Amino acid sequence: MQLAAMSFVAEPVGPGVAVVRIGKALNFSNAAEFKACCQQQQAERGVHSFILDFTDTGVLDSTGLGTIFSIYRQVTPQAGQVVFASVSRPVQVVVQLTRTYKVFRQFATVEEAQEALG
Amino acid sequence: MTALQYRFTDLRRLVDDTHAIFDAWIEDVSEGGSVSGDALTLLRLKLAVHEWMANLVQHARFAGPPVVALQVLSLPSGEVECRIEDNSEGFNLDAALDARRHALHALPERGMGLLILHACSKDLRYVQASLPPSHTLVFVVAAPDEDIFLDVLF
Repeated sequence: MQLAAMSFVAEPVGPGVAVVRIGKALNFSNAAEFKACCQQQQAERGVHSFILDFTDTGVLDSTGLGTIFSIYRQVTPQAGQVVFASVSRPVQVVVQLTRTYKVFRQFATVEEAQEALG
Repeated sequence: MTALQYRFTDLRRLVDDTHAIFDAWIEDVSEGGSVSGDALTLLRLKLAVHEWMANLVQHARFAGPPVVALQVLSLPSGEVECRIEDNSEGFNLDAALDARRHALHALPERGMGLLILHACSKDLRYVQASLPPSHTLVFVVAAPDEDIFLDVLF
């Protein structure tokens, strides 16, 4: 069963692992909803690792990235991870600019990320 | 040469309308259409403009009905210059950038927007226009072969 917090949908794909489809944008207007979605998964499902699917994402801004940092800080004490999958070109520009590939592993597809975290 | 010129008066639609303009431009370039530009330059421009528009929407104080004018110019050097005029009260951009550089801790949740704008650009300035209350942000987009990055996050 999927849990949705406003515009974001998190799909559990394994023990403690969920995929979050980011959709068209993760920015200042919906970052709080994204955070709520992830925290709901943590609290209700015991999710500690998130695969962020950026397939269709045209915008990842500073607020969106900051919220991902926040989730990362919350899950790492539980040996959790945040990884990026199917990173679109606009998101790749942000990843390169901020050097966040040093923190978040990237996978070509969601399936590859699932295998790595499984 | 002016490549783009738009005027916005609805802050609620400012960010989405800006995205639509750049997405159409980027798609045209990617498909080898008639619009000039380099895809990476346009993506950096879109990101920089987004961060500024988001800053206006979230933080700017407007004495009257807001007006934001976006102009993108293709320079003879091949670089792209962006000018964004607004009728807000404005603020000291250099001081705000300095404050963020010194205040940010590793992996911050907030405070990166202006630094991302700065990293995507060169000759960045926010100046009062000749007819106040009006300010203009001006910058040239970092060239595709420039390896730009923020050095304050880790």
